[in-house]
Amino acid sequence: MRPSTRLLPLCLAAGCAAAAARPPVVPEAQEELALAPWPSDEGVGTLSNDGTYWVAYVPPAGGLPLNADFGLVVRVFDAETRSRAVAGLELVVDARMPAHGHGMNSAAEVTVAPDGSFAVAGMLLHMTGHWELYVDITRGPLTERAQFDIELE
Amino acid sequence: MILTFALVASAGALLSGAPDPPVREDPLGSHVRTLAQLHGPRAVAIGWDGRVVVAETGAHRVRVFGRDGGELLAFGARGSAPGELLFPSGVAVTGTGVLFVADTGNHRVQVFDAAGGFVREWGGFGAADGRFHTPHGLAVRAGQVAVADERNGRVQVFDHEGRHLRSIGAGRLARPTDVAFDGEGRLFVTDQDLNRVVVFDAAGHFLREWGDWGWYQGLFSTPSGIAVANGSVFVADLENHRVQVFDRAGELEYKWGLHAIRPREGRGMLHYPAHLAVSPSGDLAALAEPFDDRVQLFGPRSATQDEEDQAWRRQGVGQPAPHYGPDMDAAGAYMTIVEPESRSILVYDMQWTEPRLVSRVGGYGSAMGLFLRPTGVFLGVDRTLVACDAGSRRLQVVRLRVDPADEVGQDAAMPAFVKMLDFDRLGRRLGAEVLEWSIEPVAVTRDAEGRFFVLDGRNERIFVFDEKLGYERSFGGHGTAPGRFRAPTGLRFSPAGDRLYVVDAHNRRIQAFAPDGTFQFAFGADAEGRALELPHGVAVGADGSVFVTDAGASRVVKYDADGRFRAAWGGPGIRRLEFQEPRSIAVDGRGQLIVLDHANHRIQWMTQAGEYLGSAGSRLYTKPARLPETYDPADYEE
Amino acid sequence: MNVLLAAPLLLASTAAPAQVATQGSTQTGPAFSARELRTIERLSPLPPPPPDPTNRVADDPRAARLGQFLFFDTRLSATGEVSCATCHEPERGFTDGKSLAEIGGVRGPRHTPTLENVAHQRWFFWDGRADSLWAQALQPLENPIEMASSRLAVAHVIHRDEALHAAYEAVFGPLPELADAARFPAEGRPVDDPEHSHAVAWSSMAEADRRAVDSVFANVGKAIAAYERRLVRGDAPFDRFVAELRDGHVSKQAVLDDSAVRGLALFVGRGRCVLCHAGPALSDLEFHNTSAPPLDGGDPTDAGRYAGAVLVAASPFNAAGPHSDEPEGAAATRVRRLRGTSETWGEFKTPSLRNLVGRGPYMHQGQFATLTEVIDFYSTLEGAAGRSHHQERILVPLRLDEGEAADLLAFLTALTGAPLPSTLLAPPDSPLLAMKGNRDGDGH
Repeated sequence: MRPSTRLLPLCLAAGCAAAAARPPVVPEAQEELALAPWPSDEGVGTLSNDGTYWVAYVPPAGGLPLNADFGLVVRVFDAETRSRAVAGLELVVDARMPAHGHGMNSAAEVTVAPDGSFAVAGMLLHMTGHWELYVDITRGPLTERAQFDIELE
Repeated sequence: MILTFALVASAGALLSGAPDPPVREDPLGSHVRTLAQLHGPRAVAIGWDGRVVVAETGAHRVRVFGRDGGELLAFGARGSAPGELLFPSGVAVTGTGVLFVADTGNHRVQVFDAAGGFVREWGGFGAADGRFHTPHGLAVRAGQVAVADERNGRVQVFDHEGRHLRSIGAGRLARPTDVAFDGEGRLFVTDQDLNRVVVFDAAGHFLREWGDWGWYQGLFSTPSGIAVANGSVFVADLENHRVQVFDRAGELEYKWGLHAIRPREGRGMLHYPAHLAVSPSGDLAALAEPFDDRVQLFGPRSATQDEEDQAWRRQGVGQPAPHYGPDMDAAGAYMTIVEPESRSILVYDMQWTEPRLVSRVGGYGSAMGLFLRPTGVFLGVDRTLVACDAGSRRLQVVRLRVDPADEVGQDAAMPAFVKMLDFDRLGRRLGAEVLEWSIEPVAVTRDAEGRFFVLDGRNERIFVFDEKLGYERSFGGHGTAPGRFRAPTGLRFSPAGDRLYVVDAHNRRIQAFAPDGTFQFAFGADAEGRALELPHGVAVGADGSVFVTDAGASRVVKYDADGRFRAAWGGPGIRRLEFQEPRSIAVDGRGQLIVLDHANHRIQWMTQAGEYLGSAGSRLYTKPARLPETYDPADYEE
Repeated sequence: MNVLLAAPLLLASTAAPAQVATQGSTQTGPAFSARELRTIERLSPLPPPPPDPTNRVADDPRAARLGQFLFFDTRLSATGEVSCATCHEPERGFTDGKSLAEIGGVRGPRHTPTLENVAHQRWFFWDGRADSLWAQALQPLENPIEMASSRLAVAHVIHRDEALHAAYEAVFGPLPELADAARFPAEGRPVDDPEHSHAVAWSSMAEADRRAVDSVFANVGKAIAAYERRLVRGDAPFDRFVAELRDGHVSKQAVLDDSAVRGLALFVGRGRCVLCHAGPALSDLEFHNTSAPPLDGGDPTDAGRYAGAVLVAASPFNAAGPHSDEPEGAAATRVRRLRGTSETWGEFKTPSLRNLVGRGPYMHQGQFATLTEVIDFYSTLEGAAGRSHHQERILVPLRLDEGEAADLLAFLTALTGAPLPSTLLAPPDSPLLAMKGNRDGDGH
């Protein structure tokens, strides 16, 4: 969509048949942040769908409300120890009703707290039924999803 | 920005009771004539004297018809020499009959005189000004030629000698497929991925845009043709099977077109109108319908047209059937198939006499878990689905949480999206040394170690990622030499994983590579030495047999693992083992061959020896395959 | 109300179903599961309207008095003949009994919604193009086919009338120097067409003066909203029924007859009406596409929420804007982050089902004259418009038989609340609330 106008490097232009190999991109080193270990008795946690992260969220007191604004605190940890926060992440938090084929009517807002946890504002689950809550974690070109099942009455 | 769409009509105007939208006194919409038995026509133009110029894309020809429908001229043959054409998909004609042709497969523009004689050409494959990547629709006016340079995401304007005047829309357009000038030199562009009309002034500055994805009025689903005549803007709204007509500010004036129900119906019913032209006086419109090998001509809307439309509607539609898209894959008990209209991928359980729909993956949107234009799918035996999205330039990995031993039932929560790779972000990391263009994924496959091999239709390269989607390497590139491609469309590994077969469509061959990207050999001819017309999909059987669909010849061709021709079956038609633009092909868990019979809105499955087993899909298209002896061909003719 | 379960939902109840007693004997009506009971209990009672922090005078009785006066004041229209009450007729449930709103022979595009219980809504207008009750009140004032006035004209009306002037300043503080005709033309407002006389006048003003007039305009809306917040009608027979269910108390007389109880069972059960008509307002306050056929036939042409979302997001009077009294609150976040995908095309706000009787016609164009017609539509989906290949996944024909349709109607009838006090249905003598007691007896 945004084509470069630069010329192809000579090697490729000359038509080398061999694979144009490049060394794999080295992932950035993971920094440690001053994030308290996940308190195992607080909130709801799950492994992300490809097993890279442990993701936990703390719902508001009283649970997730039906059709009322609420916020969450989300924390993302390494999968192994579930205690080290991971740096350099972008988060999108959303929810969808698979049976109805729709999501929330407004997008939630995610801000990063100094301790590395994520504050999510503006969540609104407007109908009863089965929702899936998604925490989509982006690092570089890759996004991995952690999801939670929610039955809202 | 959350709100990223544009409105058709000013909502404020609607609510404040502003005057009703402009009503045309002279709307078009009644069928006049059909130019039939054309080979996949993808573009039309109407000259000052009412002559209709058709780009007969599948035959690499341009044909000109007089106002009475008689053929005046035909020229062109497959090739790359001057005067030869390769899947041309754009035509424009000047007042003196000079013809400009977007020679799409050759990535150039060619000019012919009124007798069809070659005059000049310019362009060639590339990203620089003056070069093209998949030039599509074009328009002429006042000494200028505007070309929708589709995969370069821009419109280029030249003079009639081919001197580049300006490039427009880079960074704003995603997939421009057609252009039209108005009387003041403004350019109106249809963008199939934005699902909008985008307007630029005569100097090339953005003026306005309108439209969004959908099926209601003012919304589009893959708008693919545009014309300006008589002060109105006509848009061929492909997947909505209609033409919408707007004033130049984007206010809807009217629309026409009812979705054809019966195969090859015609008679004014529309079926995927891929392009349109309107006479300068606005009294004749030509609609190209490549799926049905015809161009339908429409004149002013007759007084009885409303009544006729009502009567037709009362026939009833019944349960709408899915329209299967270009790609499909099968593994184990399941088949996954793209449904372009809904921007989703359907999941079928294939263990029964009829495929049973068990889930739907995706839907329209730009967030993870949704698609803008799904193009390629790969299904692993472990029920991991990989889907490429050319619209958002991403790859998504989905786990299908289902067990074949479970009771069959629909489960909307079956798909769990696992990971997503954003090719634009990757491209910024890799840099222009590796990538001339942003990656447009068109097909994907995996090897036994779980690596992902993604076929990029824009750079015409294969990108290899490890099982965690970390980039490893790439190979290929545009060209005709071994190891290079022109419009590659599909790829699959041999069962042993020692060979990767890649469909190199415009080069009319299949190329076999070692997994490290080393070219091994190429093949494609049949026993008579006839080359493939337009190969599309490839599947590999357990014994290494290679099955290829030839969308151009509407048949399936079988080779052995070394590329030696073994058998072919099919041919254009609607009966069993006949096809119309067969696209993807796969071998399912039972060793049956499934063919996505694209323009026949169905899948057929058969043994690997070509014996018919069954078909499923749109009822009226499936019926002939099921009852070959009893159907009446007259039901399906013009 | 707040449930978070990891396990799949249990559909069967584990508690004994409740039974309704009537006249001392046990009624043999439908038994409700525990889940249905929880659902029913969430439909009642109708609480006081939620606070509106974007309107600092929302619950100020002086603002409500001023607002009630303005609601009936025809001087706020260009012709001097139209007020809010012209279409929102108090004796007709604050609507007008017509399919489409109509003034001076000109029909609007949609049906006039009721104002009863309006303060329970989250979005306003059928397409939600206002996100507060006070912002909604402003649009008819300037709509050329409604009151056809302008914010400058409205400000001048307030300024020139002694009582209005005093009432306004008592609530909102000093008015700008509107007497200065050079700075404040008689009429004017921002209009798309730059040659419109209103636009010419508006653009001739200093920026600070424009902002001042906008503030007056917004305050007018806030006062009207303060009045409208009081139009609350709960306490329907259904609410008494639920109170009994909740208490386990059984009255001697049946609060709901058998038919209505069966209707309620349909409503929360097979009919699935409660999916969208949820909560004590019997509306989820959001938007859905019911495929209701357009009034004049043909294909749907009203973009509904799709258009409304653009308008509310762009409005300078929205919850995130300079006139909101809580521009960083939840409503502001909601409107700033509003999603406007084209799937919202043709969606309209779920209306509340309270107080429907005698308030037809129904739906966004008043397409259905009676509630029976509405029920028939959901039962058969005959005439459903614009469904194409892509059908609303929530809506399927209910296929109700005659008895079931009558039961549903009986239930809807039982949602009729206590009438509003007559003091709220007529213009007060004065826009000023007297400091001690008052002559109108509206109970302060």
